[in-house]
Amino acid sequence: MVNRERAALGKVPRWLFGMGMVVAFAAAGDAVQVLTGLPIPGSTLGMIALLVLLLTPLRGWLTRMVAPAADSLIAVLPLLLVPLAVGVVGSFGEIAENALAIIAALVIGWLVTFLTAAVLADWLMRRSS
Amino acid sequence: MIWALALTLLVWGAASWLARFGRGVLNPVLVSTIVIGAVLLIGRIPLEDYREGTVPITALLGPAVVALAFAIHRGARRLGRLLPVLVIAGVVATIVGAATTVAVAWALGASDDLLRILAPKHATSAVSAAVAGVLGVDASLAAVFSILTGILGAIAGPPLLRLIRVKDPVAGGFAVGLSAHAIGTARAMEENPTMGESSALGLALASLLVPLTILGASLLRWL
Repeated sequence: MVNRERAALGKVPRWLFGMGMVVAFAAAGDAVQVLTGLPIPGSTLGMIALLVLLLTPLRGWLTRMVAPAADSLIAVLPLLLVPLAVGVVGSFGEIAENALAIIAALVIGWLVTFLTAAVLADWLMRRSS
Repeated sequence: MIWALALTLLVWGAASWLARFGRGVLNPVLVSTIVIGAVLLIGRIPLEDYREGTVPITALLGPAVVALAFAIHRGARRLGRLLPVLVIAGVVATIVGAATTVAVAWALGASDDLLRILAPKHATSAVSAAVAGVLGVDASLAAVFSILTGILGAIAGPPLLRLIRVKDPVAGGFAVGLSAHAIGTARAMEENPTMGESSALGLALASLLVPLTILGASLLRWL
């Protein structure tokens, strides 16, 4: 059964099928977001749905068919961000106007998030072991 | 408009090659953004044209967030017993961090819209831009703030861990990924594989926790 499936779906078709599945989850998430008006992005809803399915017996099938494409997407995530970042060219004015507030919020916000996560995780881990 | 796609991929390729010599400072996202931004400004190319041409890339952002489900699942299985601890740390750090970000910006006179743009910034840009879109504020600015946060975390994260003496690679990697998403994770993977793995879990968890935190805040009418 597994062998026949492997023969029917070679590496590249399987990758493309997996890509189609991931895109379909994102599209379904977007549709749910628009219909419900939830302030959570559709892509996050799609991720939650996929995560729930990974806790069911479908896990093996999803890992075999969808994970290769998903891993490729995660690997190129930083590249996907570049066109969005280039959008900053159009927002120089707004950033310059609020430069102090933005820089302070970015730096202090990051520091607090980072230190809280690092120190709390380290402390809890040492306590539990 | 297909030139925009070629430009992005070629500059990205060159920037990732260059990054090998930079020890985290020559961040490929930062370098690519500066080079492409300069090309657009010097060539007087409208941003709209570039955006239209790169739709094939940006269209994959949502699917990439969905794909993170595998990273969460895999990290959760591997870290097993440690998972509850990391989730607790992640939830607390996300709420405290987002609240601090908004409070600092508010105290320095940022507008309500700007607060909404800044709030989701420690999630990956794909998430923060989508959250901004849902809140009805500038998505590209939200993406840029995420990227700046990521670069900051990638450069300052590992040395800071040594400074505060957090030696555990799981805790350290997790903090880098949670606070500095994909850009921090790329850096953590250079440090060592254990750090990279827990950083990937942190990144994936943040992309789940940040929208939920914003949802909570908006239900309480704080945003």
